[in-house]
Amino acid sequence: MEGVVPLLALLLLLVIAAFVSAPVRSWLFEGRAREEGGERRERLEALRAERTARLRELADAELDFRSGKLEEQAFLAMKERLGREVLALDQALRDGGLADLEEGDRVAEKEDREDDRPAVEVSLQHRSAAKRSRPAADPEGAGQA
Amino acid sequence: MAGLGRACLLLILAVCAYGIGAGLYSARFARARGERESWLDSARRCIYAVALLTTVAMAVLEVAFLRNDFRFYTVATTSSRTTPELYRAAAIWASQEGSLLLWTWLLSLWSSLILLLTRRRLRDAAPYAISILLGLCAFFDALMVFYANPFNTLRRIPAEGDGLDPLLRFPTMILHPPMLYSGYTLAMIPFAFGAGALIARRIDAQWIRLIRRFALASWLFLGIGILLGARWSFAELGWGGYWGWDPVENAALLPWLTGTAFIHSLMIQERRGMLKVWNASLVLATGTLAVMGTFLVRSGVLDSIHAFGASTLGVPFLVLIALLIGGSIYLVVSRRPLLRSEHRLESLLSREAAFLANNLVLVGLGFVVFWGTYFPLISKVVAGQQSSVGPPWFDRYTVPLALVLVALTGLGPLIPWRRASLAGLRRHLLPPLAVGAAVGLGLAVGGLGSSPSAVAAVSLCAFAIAVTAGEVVRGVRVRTAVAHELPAVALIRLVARNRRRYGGYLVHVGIALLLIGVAVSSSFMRQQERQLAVGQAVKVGPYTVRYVKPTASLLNGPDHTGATIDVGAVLEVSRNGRRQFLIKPSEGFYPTTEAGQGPVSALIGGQAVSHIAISAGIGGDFWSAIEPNIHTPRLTEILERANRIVQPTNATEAAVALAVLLREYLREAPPAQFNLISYPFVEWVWLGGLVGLLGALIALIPPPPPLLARARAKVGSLVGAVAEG
Amino acid sequence: MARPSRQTIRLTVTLSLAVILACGLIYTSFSAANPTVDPTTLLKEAQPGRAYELTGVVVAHSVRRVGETLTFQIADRQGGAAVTVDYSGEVPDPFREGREVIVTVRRGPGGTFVGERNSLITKCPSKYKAAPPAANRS
Repeated sequence: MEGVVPLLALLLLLVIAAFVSAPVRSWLFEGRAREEGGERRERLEALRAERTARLRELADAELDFRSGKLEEQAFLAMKERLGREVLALDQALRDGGLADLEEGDRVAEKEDREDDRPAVEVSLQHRSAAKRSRPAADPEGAGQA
Repeated sequence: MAGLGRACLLLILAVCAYGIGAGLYSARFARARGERESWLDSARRCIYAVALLTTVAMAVLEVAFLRNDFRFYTVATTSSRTTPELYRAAAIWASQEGSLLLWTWLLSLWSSLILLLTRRRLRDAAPYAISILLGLCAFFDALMVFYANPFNTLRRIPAEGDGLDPLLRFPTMILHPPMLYSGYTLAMIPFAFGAGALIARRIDAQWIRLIRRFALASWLFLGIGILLGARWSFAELGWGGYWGWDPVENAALLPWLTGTAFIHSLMIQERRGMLKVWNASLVLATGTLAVMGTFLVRSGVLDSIHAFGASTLGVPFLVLIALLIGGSIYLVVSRRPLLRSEHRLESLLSREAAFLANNLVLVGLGFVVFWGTYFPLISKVVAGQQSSVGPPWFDRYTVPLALVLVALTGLGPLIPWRRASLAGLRRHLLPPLAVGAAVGLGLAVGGLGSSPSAVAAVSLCAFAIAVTAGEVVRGVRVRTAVAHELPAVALIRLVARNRRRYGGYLVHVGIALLLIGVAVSSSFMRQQERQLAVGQAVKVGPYTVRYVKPTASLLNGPDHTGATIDVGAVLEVSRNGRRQFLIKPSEGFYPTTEAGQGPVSALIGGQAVSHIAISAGIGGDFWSAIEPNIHTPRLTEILERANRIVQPTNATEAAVALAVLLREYLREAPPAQFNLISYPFVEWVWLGGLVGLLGALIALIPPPPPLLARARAKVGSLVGAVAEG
Repeated sequence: MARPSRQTIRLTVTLSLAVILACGLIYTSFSAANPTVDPTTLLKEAQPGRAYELTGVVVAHSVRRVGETLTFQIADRQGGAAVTVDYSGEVPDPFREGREVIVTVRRGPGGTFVGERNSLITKCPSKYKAAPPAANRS
């Protein structure tokens, strides 16, 4: 058994060296990184995180308002401000290329909304959904007679 | 196989060194984006590699323990053939070496987890965070390689090990170190990513979102570890208490307190972009305190039940702590422009203000505990004379602060963010205030007014629980009114959609229940320490306790912890003349490997451990411990004769001799020393702890994975289509 | 001079309160603390009525129980002077001869010291043992 130990240790060393150095070898010998497009993804993730935080804040404010802790004026002002911020983030996400992201990312956005949907539906959601469901202008279609 | 373990430790050092270099190169020197990504990915893989290597090392050591391989020094000194298998498996972390390996293993596992979860995120902070985590792994690994190697082997292999300390042969002690170390190592994740974000000058909502979960997880595990330790103290140690302000207990409490503050104040940063300096300081302080807690137990620098005289690890730990503190201060000070608040506190009557107040109280509590714990060192430096403060000093400051904290726990949920209206606050505040006042009045009138602090604590806790109940009722009412659901369904959906909020509320309820248990049990416990002969009785609070008869067993003790003999008593507990229950405390006597004892004496000459008997109930526990006297002249004479007659290797003869000893003990049992305690409401401490931990678990539940969300969406639209059709 | 903002006032008040409380805490810790001493120091410097945290090793064959009181001797870790302590209260399970203990004591009659009730702590015995001697290490 003890004779096997040096072999096992050597095997471990080789496996780990190969595993750990793989990305660097890929860059050095093949000239490409294994993970590409990371910065763009990170930017979108950051925007999504901001959006989630705003939605959660809005959900909490609605619950506080409906439970009688927050006055209507204060709630409406908060809703207006947060609504503007969420729409701005939505726009930034679209500008960041949300439209051509993979299916998994689109669902991930939906998953965020799932997590933060308030106790009751927020009218903001309906407003956003209504906006999105309006058919967008089709640049190619416009050219067809 | 020890060679494989040693090879793993050396490989870990090499991988950490490479990984730190790769991470820093990726952040500071790599030019092209692809090059940066590659070196960062390589550094990330080093964490996974360290996790693999530490897992292999743990497996090697664990197998050695289970196979009783006494070639391993660690196994020989902390395990034995007579140690039950379950405790043998857990004995790996009973030693200095094994516990360092456990720390490293858990750190590498949690680090791997966060890197898997942040695979595409926090790219600016990640290289620095990875380097810090690898640096910590390297530190603990170096301690093992150079100071306390778990794979040291012995040339002269003993036939039997020393055995696991019988005090540690208790179910909660199997889990206590892994839970506590998980808490410590999880605290290093926010520390590393906090420091990384500060170095990279990149703190945003994404960072907050990821760090929050790990901070909460650390809080949860530390809480479990502290609760298990308190339970061990109560149910295993013979002093009858669950918290003694021992330095090692306090060492775990400190990062838990600052962690609690951080979890709350992070919400303010998330919503209002405020308290960034405060949060940065808290997250770095929590990580530093986690390392200091580890240092306290390892170094022997403070006298404590857990500290075992000076060890060689003190100096390296001090160097690390100095680095962590110095680095943290530098980062917070140099990044102050990045940490400027985006908004100001609009009103003192806001949730932000309540959270801020709660933070100040928690940090205040932390300061008290820190000062009292490290006072022996502080006094030595300042006054030239080492002094220490005891539990009364701690209680004097922590009790009022805890009362303020409970009051804020009740007030906070009632106040909305930004600004509350006085009318709304009054409307929601009066009912729970009335509940608290009624409870207080009831206690005072009911004869418990002798302890004003207990009455105040219970009233405030009742107020806090009433506030939470009100919040839940209001939330369910809102949901049933708008979504037209049944109350039970509304409650489930309310909690499911607001896990952070309602998980937090459940934590508050748990803490309130725990504090009720602490206040009542510590203020109204009744204790008697008496020597009783068979047939004698003593009054303990409302109970009368009679020593009915002695008990004794050979190799078959009630706790199955490997005691050679177990000697105890049957006690009858009555109240108002009516028998309530029987209770059977005992003491186990374990073998020793110390030289100079006869063959029979060696079987019972080791650690003696109380097997506490507790009759538990929601209204209170009855706690009992016995110290039987097996050294009477007659029993000593039997033992000495047995030592002369019995052959050292003859187990059967030794067993017969011990049977004779025990029979004599039962025939004419001498008076025994009893410690008897009537402990009202102490079960609320454990119950409250469990409720609080459940709340933390609920708050930790992540959103459903994409597949499930897609399925839910499909089902939802199907249902909608059917309804329309 | 411009009026300080509400923020500044709040910060000043909070910091002042914190400093006052911290000063109170620090002062009481020094006045309430018990000096930690070994038996040699205790014998030389103990003042009547003052409490001390005595640390040392329980002397072999010195432990006797008379009724509710446990009497034992504590000596310096390195050997030397020993102090007799009369103690009543909880006796921790690990307590025995040769173990390191900490107990709060006050000077009693006849040169002995009286241990404060339930103040006896026994250090867990050699949980972290020294590494094996080099001769036995492979």
